[in-house]
Amino acid sequence: MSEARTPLEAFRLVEHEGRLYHLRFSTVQRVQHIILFVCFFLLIATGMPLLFSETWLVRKMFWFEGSFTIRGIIHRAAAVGLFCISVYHVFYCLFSTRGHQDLRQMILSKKDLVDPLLILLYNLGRRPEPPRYGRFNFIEKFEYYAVVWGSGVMLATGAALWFPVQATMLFPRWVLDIIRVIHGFEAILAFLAIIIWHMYNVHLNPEVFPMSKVWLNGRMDLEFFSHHHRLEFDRLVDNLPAGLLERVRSQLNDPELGKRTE
Amino acid sequence: MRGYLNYTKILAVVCLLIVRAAPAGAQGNDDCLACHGEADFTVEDEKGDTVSLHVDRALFESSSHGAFSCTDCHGDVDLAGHPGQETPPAKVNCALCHEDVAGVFRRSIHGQLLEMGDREVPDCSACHGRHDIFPARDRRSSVNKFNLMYTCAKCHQNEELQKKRKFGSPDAIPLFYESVHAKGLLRDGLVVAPSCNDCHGSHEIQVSSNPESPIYRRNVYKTCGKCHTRIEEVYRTSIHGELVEQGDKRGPVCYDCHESHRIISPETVAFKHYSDEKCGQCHQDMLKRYQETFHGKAMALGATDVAACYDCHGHHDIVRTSDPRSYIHPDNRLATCSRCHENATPKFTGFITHANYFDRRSYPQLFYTFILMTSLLVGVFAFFGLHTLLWIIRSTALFLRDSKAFRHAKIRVRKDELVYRRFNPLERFFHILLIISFTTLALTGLPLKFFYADWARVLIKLFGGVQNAGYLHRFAALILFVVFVIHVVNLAKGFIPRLKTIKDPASGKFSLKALAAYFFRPDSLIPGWRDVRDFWDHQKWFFGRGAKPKFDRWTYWEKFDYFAVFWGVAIIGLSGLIMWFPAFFTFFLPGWVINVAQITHSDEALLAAGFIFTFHFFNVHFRIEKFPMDTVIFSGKISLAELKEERAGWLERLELQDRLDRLKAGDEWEGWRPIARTFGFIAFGVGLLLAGSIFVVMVLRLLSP
Amino acid sequence: MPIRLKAKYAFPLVSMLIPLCSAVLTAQENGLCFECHNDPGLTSGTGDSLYVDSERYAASVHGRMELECIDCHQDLAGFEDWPHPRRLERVDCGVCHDEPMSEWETGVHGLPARQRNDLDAAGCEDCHGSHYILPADDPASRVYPSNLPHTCLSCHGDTRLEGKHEGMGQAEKAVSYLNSAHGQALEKRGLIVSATCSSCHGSHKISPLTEFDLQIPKICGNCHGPIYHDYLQGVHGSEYLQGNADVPICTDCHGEHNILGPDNPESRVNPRQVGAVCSRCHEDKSLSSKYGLPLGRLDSYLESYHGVALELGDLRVANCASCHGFHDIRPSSDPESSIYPDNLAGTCGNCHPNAGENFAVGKIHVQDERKDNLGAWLVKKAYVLFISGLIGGFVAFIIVDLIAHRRRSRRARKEEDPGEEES
Repeated sequence: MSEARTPLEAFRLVEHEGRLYHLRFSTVQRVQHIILFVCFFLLIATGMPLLFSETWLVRKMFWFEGSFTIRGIIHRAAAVGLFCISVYHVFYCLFSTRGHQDLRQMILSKKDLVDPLLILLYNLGRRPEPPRYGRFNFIEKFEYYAVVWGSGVMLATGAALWFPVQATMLFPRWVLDIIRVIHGFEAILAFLAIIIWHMYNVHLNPEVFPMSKVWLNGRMDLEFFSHHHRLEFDRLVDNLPAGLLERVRSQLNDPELGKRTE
Repeated sequence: MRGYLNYTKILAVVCLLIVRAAPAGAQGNDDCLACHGEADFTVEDEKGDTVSLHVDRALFESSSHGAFSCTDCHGDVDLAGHPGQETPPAKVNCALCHEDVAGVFRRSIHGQLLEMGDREVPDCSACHGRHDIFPARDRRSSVNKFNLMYTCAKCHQNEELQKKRKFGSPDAIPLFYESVHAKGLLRDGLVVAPSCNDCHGSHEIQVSSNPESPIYRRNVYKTCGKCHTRIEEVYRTSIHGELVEQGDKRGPVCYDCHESHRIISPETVAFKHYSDEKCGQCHQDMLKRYQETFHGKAMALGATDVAACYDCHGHHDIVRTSDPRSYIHPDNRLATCSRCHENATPKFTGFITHANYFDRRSYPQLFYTFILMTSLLVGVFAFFGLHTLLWIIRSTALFLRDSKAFRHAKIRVRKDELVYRRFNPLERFFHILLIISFTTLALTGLPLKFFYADWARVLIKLFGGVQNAGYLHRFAALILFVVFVIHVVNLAKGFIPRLKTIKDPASGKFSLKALAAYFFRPDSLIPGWRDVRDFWDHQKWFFGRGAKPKFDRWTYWEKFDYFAVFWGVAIIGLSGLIMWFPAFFTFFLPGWVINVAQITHSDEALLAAGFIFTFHFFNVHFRIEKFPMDTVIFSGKISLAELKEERAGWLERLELQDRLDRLKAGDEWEGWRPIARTFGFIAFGVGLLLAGSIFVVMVLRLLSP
Repeated sequence: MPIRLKAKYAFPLVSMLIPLCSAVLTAQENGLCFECHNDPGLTSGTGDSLYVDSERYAASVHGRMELECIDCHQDLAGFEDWPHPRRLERVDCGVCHDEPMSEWETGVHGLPARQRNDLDAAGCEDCHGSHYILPADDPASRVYPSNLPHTCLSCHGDTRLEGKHEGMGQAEKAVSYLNSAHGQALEKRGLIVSATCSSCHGSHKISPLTEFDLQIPKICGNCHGPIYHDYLQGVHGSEYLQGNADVPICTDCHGEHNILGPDNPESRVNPRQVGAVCSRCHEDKSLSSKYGLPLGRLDSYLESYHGVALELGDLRVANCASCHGFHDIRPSSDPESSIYPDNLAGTCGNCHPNAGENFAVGKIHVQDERKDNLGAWLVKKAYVLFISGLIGGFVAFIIVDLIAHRRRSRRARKEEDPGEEES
């Protein structure tokens, strides 16, 4: 559409109220995250009670007749939602430009094994500089693969529990008992990982507290971007045309920016 | 049954045993069983079918007749000449011993038909068996009460016989299995629960049209009363019981309400759901009026906690309204209503439960409300129907004449980069809320209005029942109410500070003229003379007698839309509140106000839904230049080309006042476009579906007699 | 003791006597009594009413037979100096009703009277009334099936009388009959065929509980015949037949006076409560060791999906009875048992249509997971280890990160304003 938009978009930049931002997540990605978030929340809310059926809170949750049946329906509906968004995500990663680009950035490398050590050493004061990250740091990659693995396991085991008769045509029922254990513990794992790890990284971490808004508007402040995703930022600076580079320099108050590499 | 087991009979049997058992019993039977004891002892009958002549010795000896000799029954068999005998022995005559029973049986329908030579009718052995007869109290007996239905089913559930003989109720036995009686008998193993014979009789069985039959219409309540004594007592003093006693055919008996075989527990939901139909078999007009009330509609849609007929009128103890015992006697009404409506007031009981809107004499207030609302409905639809039709014809004609220019104009309007703000974010947000709440209200409310349609039932099921739909409806109403209040407060907030600036330019003081000028200024939504002129010019344009009028900021139909919503929210809101809190409002208003509120709410809702789903949709979706959707209400932006095309008056004014540039808008909209469009189309689709459903159902209703 | 006629002779005898000798005389003599006693204001010296309504008496079963006052009040026979001044003797109903009387004397109501002349327990008039007795099949009679509970409850439902007599039982329990399936059938549906007090306890000869308890299955079987039959087929019933007092009888599962249908949520055999009822014995340590019953059944059930779902209110899931049956419960070694290995697939198939052989392979009441399902045990342990390791790692990382962040920000502040730290 408007001529001015295209170059900004090519560099994953976005203008908002006169300032430039890094567009970290596109609208489609944000919507995917929201759907994932809703499904995950519903699944946890309707699944966890089964693991802690003795507790007072769970008893109060199912106070009216038929509530348990509704729980089952919501759980299955959310599972179908998770399944759909998973399938969509696979297609998105394989066939859309942006999805494909991001998937390539998501591939694990040796750096991702070293980085945790480096950041730890930095945190312990043994190194002067934190490691420089690409578009996704090891924490984000870990979370991503945890979600991929978790969704896969939960969908597969959940399907077996949903259709026990069909499942037992493939294997004896004691396997189903194991599957039930897996479904339960994997859920606890996912729940704890989200509550502790993800919540720390996107909410409680002092650098983003109280909440990183990038999941809502997709925008990342250029300064933050330059600190936390330095490699990606450098790549951006290398490729920027002169006019935009100047804007970035003035915005970051760093007239030297990009000159070292020239 | 036990009556037959009298002393004489026992005596006779004992005598017989003493006389005969010793010499003939065991030994004679050995002779017979030498052949008949073989499991594969068969012969061919005249037709060539194989007939087994096997008698199971153990079974026979454990049976009631086990101590008897074969020849006691088969007296005509000559032992010497019997093996290989051509003609089979005569049929056993049970009456030889069971004389009194046989006498009773002969007078029964089975016995009479048998005597007339009907071979399909059961004789003794058809029910009791032959060599395996046990006392009826024995679980093994085929006429034991736990086995009897299977025995009767041999004929009465036999499809071939059913077709041939046309039994009165062909499904009697399968239906019986659904009944409380079968539950008592088969699940709870209750020997006191009735089996077939307990109602129909056993040997003395008669068809139901026979006045001697226990299931003859006038005898039924006595038959049921054999066990349900207390119910019988109560029923007999009810108006229904009195009618039956007087021999009046209109008096309902037990099975008219409870069904004859499929008697289900009156505490079940299923019973409640068909109870109104049962009462309606006789009280047709009352049922029809009942179904026009909330109780009836909710009931038809599967609610369980609304009043059925019997909740107000009583069950077996129904008496005339004038009888002081009646639950709906004026003195008792409040107590009856209060059983569900805890804080009901005396005026609350003034609600007209079986109101007939067409009855001007009895219910003038309802009649005139109904007429008023209906004429409003018809008037608005006729007016806008014609208006829209003319418009469609005109634009179709223009489109056909020069479709290329038309398309170009449309593309220009959409692709123009100069965009201006038409709605601010709050207004857009309000419209989204309005869409959500309006659609929810329509989805949860219209099923009640069209309770008889299949889609209404499907919708209600989708929401999880009338109760849930009701909660959603109230929730959506609250959203609408909040939007309405905030909007009004906003208007006031904008208006009050302006009040000081409203001055007569000549005198510099406040004057009504200045106020009117303020109200009718071009940016205002209040209709003025300009709109009449616009309307007239528009009509002329329809007929090709003039140019399209240059609309200002708001067109006349937009102003109508706005005030329709304003008026609708007020009317529907108030009547809705009355129905939400009937007890509170009848604290100071008469009961019939609830009826009036219901008529108003329902018709006004139909008007609103119909108007939005047709005329509003026409304006923003179906006009060729807008199709499939005008997204201005989501984006808030209007392009320069569209301004020129549609609102030339406004554009001119803005340019004149030099305000155009201030309205220039940025473009953070693009990312949200797909979401807004999806949302818009969902609401659009739902609206269209509802409009279609309403249309179909109304046409069908009008066509049906 | 007055001479007693056999009851069956008494009736024809008395009815023969009446027309023969006293047609005129009776009317006259009763008239004589009613001259005083038909006055509603007539009271004894202590203020008790001595009123007898002549019309109501005439409508009573005795009045209709035209019995004379003195037929019952025999101590007035031959009395001539009216009005009689003294208090009359207690009427002996046994003069005519010999059989019920002797039954009563052996029952709990009559025993105290016979043994120690304690007349506090119910006598004839307490249940049947005195002057206005109606035949038992008259709906207005105090002993008509639908009135009987209220007649009995006038003593047994009275909390004030609760501890007064041995064996009275708790009033609350007796009253709970009215809300039971039987009581409701009687009261609400007007079903006189429903069980009332006398259906189980008998009428004149009411046995003490010690005797009564042993009879219960048979008594229930009087109405619930096929159920009794089923019960005797099962492991509980066959043991009961052999006189084993440990096995549950009807009342152990269904309750006594407060019996409710299984559909009623309050019922002890409702899906919600069945587990508790069964485990009263099956989780009992002494019974378990006595009969070799495996323990931990309820716990392992509650651990399973069925148990959890039931606890949270889904009544459609399997409870004890769904798999084990109810009246004719048989051990898994019995080929007719629903949980006999070969029948398991079919039993599961009741709820899970098309369930195959595989569906039942594997232990159901898993108690010791390590032994019963090693795979599940290993997976569980592995997960616990993995989760605790991972979460521990997370927490450690976060703590280090937070501390480092704090240190860095403090340092940054110091660099900005070096004087702050010093002062």
